[in-house]
Amino acid sequence: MQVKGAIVRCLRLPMGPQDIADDVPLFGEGLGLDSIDVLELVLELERSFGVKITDEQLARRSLRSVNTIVSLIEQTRGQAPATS
Amino acid sequence: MIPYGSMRDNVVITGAGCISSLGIGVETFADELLAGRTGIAPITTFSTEGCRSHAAALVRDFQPSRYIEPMKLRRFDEVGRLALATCRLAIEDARLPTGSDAVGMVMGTATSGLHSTVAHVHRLMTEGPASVPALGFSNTIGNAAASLCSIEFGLRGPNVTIGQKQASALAAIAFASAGLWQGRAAAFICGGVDDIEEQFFRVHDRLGVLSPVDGLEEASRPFDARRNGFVLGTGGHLVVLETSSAAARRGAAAYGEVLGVGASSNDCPLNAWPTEPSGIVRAMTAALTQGGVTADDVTVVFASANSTPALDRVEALAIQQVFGARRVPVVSIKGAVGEFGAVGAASLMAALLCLRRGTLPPTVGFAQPDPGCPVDVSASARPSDGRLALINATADGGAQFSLLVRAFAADEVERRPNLG
Repeated sequence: MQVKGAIVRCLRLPMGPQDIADDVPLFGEGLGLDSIDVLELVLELERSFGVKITDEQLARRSLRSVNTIVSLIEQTRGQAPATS
Repeated sequence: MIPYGSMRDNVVITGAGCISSLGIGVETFADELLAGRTGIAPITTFSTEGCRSHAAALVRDFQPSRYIEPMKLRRFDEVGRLALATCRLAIEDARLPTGSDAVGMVMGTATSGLHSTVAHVHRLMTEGPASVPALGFSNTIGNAAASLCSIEFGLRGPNVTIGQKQASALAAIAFASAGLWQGRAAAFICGGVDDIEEQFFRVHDRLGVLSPVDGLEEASRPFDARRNGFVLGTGGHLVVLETSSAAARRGAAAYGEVLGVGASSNDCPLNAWPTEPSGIVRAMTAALTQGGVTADDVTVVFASANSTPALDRVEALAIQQVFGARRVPVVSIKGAVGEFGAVGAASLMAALLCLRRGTLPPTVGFAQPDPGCPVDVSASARPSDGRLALINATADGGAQFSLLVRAFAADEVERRPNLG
């Protein structure tokens, strides 16, 4: 829920964190985010979770859904699972 | 596809969008103006603590989500929202086909980008570069409002933003009219949009140009002997200007016609009002000359007078010089809606709708004539059967625009189904 809250806050989404399913695609047909959102999301993940997304391939892989973002945070931290 | 115009085409006004301190929609705007109401009220959107002035004419009844999808709305700042919503109203009113190479946009604004710029600078200074939100950065650009409208409605003709302070909207309409006469597009959505940001208000307050509570109620009183400064206003006022051939091809009705434009500069310091009338006289005369009419033909002047001691006096002298002994009726709507960059477009629609209805609106705030302003200003609405209006806009720093228009009677051009 922490990740969902950060997404809603930084992208000013017109919905609550609870409205985002863990596996819904963030871009395109799912949540409907676009390339400008990617920029903001990458900065927010760095600010709030210390995750650095340095290349486009990693961004494509990791920003598909809340689940993939949580996985990335967990990998980065290499510690207890983050909550979605 | 809408055909481009030719130099022989007339320029007609086929639609208007209005989001104002007097309400939403041009007919509501005219109703309220004619009833003598004012949109000026104490500011509630931010604190005015420590200021000399505490009032403004703020847009009322505006719910952006009624006009803009939620996922888009989150991206736009105050002026962007106002611009998109007003543009939608203008397009709907004109029944203008969008998604066209032949439709352009000329936006007059003094505040586009301001809210986002202030927000960005604040975050930059207080939290550092990493905290500056990327999402809103595109809104910090001065032409953001015009660009958003073009993107949303597919206006692929010329896209221009004009910042001429208080004269921005009338400058935009003059520019768009010239563009249509030159055949550069079939239609332009043009006019202005402005909103007040707290620092913007505080700077005006600090400069001492706003009407303070100074033994009198804080108010805008154009041409009145007691005037002591202007009151800031807000709003979106956009019109659809179209070549007469393009309008005829699609069976569009029109509110009226632009007959002439005039532009000039007054020789005055950057933030000062003109101190002598020659610049205003030249712009008014140029508009009359281009329209092929004389001062005697003009029904009413919608003045730029904004309750500032200097500007109102100089504009009155300019009107006296152009009209000679004739006491042409003079109106200023700034007692009702305040001073802002979009107000020239508001004056245009006020002129067209009020002349169509055969009534000149009152100059709200005017009660005590000033011998230093020798013009025929009325405190109440009065009947009028003429059709020609001369509209003035003066910016501090000296930019001057005048527009000569002819109002069409309601039954002169019937609104027919959109053939576009």
